[in-house]
Amino acid sequence: MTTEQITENAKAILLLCGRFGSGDDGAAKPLATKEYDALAAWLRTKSWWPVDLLEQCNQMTLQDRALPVKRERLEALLSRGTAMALAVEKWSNKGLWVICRSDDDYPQRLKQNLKGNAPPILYGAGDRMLLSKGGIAVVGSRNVDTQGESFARNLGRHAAECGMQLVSGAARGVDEVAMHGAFSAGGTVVGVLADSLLNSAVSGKYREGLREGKLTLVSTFIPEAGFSVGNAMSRNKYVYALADFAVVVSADHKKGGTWAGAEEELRNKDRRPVFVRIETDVPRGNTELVKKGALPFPEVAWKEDLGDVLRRSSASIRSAVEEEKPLSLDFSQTQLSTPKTPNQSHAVQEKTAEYTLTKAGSATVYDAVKPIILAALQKPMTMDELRKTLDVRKPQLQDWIKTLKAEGLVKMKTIRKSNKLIRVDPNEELDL
Amino acid sequence: MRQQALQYLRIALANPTAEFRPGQWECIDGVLKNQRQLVVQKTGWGKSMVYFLGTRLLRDQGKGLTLLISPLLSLMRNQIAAAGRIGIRAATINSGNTDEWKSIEARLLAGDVDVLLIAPERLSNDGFRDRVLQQVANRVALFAVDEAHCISDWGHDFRPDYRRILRIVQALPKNVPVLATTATANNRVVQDVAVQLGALTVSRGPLVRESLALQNIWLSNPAERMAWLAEHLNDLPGSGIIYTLTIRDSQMVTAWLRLKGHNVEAYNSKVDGVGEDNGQASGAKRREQLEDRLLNNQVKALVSTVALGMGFDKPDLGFVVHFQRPGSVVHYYQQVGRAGRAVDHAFGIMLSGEEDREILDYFIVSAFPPQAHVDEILRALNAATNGLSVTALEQQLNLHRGRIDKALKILAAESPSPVAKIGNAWHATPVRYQTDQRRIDDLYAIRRAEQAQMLEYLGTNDCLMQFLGRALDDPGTGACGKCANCEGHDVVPSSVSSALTTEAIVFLKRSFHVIEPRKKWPAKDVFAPSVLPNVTITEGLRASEGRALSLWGDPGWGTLVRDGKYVSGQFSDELVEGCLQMLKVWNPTPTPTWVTCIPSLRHPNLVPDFTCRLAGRLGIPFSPCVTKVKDNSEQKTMQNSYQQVRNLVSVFSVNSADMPKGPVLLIDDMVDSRWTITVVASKLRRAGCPAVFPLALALNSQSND
Repeated sequence: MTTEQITENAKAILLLCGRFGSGDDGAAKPLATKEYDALAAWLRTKSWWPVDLLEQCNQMTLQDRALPVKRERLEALLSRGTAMALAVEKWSNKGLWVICRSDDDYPQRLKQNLKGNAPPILYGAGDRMLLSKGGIAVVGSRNVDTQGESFARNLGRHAAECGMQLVSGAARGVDEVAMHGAFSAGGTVVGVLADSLLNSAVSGKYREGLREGKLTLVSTFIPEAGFSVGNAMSRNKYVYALADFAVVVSADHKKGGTWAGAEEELRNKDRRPVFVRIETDVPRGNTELVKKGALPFPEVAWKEDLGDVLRRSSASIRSAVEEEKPLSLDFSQTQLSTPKTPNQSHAVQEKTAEYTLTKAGSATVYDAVKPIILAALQKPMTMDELRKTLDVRKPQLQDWIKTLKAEGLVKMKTIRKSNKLIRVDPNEELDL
Repeated sequence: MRQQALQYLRIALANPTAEFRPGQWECIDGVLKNQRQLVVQKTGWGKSMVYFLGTRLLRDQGKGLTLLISPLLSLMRNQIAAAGRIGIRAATINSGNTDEWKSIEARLLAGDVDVLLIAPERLSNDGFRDRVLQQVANRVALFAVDEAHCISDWGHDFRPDYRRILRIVQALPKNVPVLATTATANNRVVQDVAVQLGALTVSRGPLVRESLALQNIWLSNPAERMAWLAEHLNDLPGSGIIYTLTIRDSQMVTAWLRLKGHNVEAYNSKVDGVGEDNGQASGAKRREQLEDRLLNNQVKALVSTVALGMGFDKPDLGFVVHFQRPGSVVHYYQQVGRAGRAVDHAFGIMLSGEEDREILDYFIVSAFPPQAHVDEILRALNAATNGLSVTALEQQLNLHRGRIDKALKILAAESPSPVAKIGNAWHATPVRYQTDQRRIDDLYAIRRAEQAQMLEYLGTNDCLMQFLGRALDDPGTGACGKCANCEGHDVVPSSVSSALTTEAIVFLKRSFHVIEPRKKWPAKDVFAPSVLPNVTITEGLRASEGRALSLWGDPGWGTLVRDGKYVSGQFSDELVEGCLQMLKVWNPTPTPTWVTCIPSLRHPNLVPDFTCRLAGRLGIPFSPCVTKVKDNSEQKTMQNSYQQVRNLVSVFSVNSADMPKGPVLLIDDMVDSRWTITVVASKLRRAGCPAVFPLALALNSQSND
């Protein structure tokens, strides 16, 4: 990456969420993911992009009461331009890249799997396309017995032989052993780091893989970040989110990052299938995870195509998860995962509308009418036109529109001198 | 706002009727509107006023400070005074004032600095960036880059540090205004810089200096040019600058002119603090003092390399003389254009001679590291797991330390770069790197074309100012009516007195050169198994200060030494007499009581024969007690200290039984890295010799440039 290639929106997101030096605390405390997500939702109600904040910064528009971040903080964050440029130049000079949620090459699967928790900024090295390739996450504790170690190594190798990418926490123990296995069979690996990206990227053990496109390192923490237990824990969800399946090689019971990460994933409504190694003498955590919904790793997977077996074995889980989804969540999720071509996105939304209607009984009236209103707004309409089309009383419609605006789904736009309601392009939402 | 700015301008200039120069207000307005601007205006137009007024108005709006990146060492005193009148406080951070950094950092963090001036190379130092710059960068409201033409590959003055500055500018969000300024650039460079910076507005003023009378004089031999300077320096009005291409010439010409009674001082990057005013002053302080003396007309001239340049502003500078031809028209214009800003008559005289081309070619060829060096360095770094220090690289590679440093510096400025310095170690990055040989070849071609254009300038019959104006794409330059070509005769006499020329040759023959003793071995284990265990060469094992008769190939003795070594195979008696004269002036104490020399298996008689004759004339014995016991590679093929010393291990032996008592004169024909004399001297000292005085016929030190 050269600094020339950083888009203006990415720069704005970096200003909002990035850490560039010790002056970052106090007035200009960078936004946490949740805070950024709230701000992004507010931006959508204005039909703004993050870059628009740079121009609005001095203006009255930021006095909006709904602005979820204090205005002073926002201004302090946005005035860190030179600090940001210095940091970004330094990283790119060392061969690292930065991807922001607004960038085209931000991995879609992170948005799909994590939604509002999708990290605003990713730092990394190596071929960033690997981030979209999915694969199998192999996780486990640092201290693993020889049986677990050989399982991890064999699994890394077998995955590579089956053309499946390995996603790893790149820590010592299971992570590293599985990576070696994958490399030995010529496979690709995504390493999700919790610290020290810069040092890792220039270290002898990773340099060659990064250069050859076999390894991609990625982190949500700045490249200079040192080790911290909190960061190491919060990294787990990204390991799962970047993979299609996960296999737990060894987990302590109710302690350690592996247990916590697996448990968190199993609680996730929209989770990846989690398999666990069940052999004689596995740690107690392994068997306990099965009770919490993890699947025993099928023996047959060693003999057949790993992907096929795991897909088959997890089919039952998938449908079960689908069933549980509450409607409102379903809607936003459809939006978030909508493909980028507009035609398709309409098609998906129509379908959602139908689906929602059939199940309307379980939700509020607003949930039920929302898809209908949105469907009606395929073409822009004035409030009056919409009222006639839907045959509803104006005050009622106004209430619904107000909510839709707040959710960033529709907005007012002046078209040929009349104020019309239009739908906010779901793609726009994707890009924040 | 314009009215407010104008008021500030008048206060700053302490002139209630002052008005903006053309383009100044537009430029300030652009800053307030967060624009990216490139401003091309000749020096003296008032760039600094734009920085100051822009900063003042931003400060009034509650904004942060201005970061000004500029190669100039500090703001001129009059500029600081002007800034002070409108409450703008400036501070400078460069390698010359490290002792002040702490207090400046504290002022920065307290918000007590409005304009921070930093040298471009500070941005290539990640340690400095992390420790200092990153801490205040949160509050930068205006990003200003001076001498912005250095960004362009096409520029006459491309600098690796500016590559990183460019990347930083590209990463800036659009709410940070960028102001890039330069005094010289042709269309191609202006366009290139504007595109790369993403500059929306380019403002450009006329470049021609109306008061400047130009003339070119060809004098092939440096002695003739020295004679010309000695004779005609006082014909030139006021105080001025004499530019030389090398540091050595800056020192040599200064010494000569002082001998001839002229009040001149040498100015270059190696000027150290040992001046008559203040022995403790650092080089940067000393240079500041020298600048002040020129500003106050306390010297007739500074004899300077390009080190005196960017940002130096003396409106009444009376003349600029070039001792050698510069490498390009842009260089020449930039240097000669320092004269005649605010006086009616000023002179720009370009002398030119035989050696110019050789020196300029050396500059061109050494601008980029050869591919082989880059490959070697990258191979070593790629083989290392956790990086290598430069010292470790020296031990692994037969490359000159300066070349390793230079190659790393250029590689590190690439973006993305194949190397990264983390702490003190260099690492290979995961970047796949391929040297862009075509780009380098193109650059060489540009440099050669620029040189050719200077030759054309030297020989042209057209108006000289018009020639410069055309070469710089300054539209509508008419004939100046002042230069030697317009006048049809010399504006300053081009005659040279032959008596003075002879005197200059004699002077060159008496310019003896000091051989500083080395005080440290390149590494701890260099003689393992250890005979000389310490890194420091202890006092008792050191050589004393020595002398060299000439510089290799110089117009004094240098050519005679070269003939003796490579043509006749014997050093002439003239050289013996030269050394006798030198010893008289030098007078090493305690006086040597015997003579010896560095033995050679390749030329077993050359130096001993000379030493024998010298000893005869001195009337003291010659004892060949140093012998070479092992053949080794030619020392000149060893490229860095570590390799040079390794190549000398167990090579020489001192026969202490044959060794006379008393201090010794140690003779060698050529001294380059000084390691041979250092090693032999340490062995002589160990054998009980109380003092060793090295004497060489020639000092070969291209690396000293």
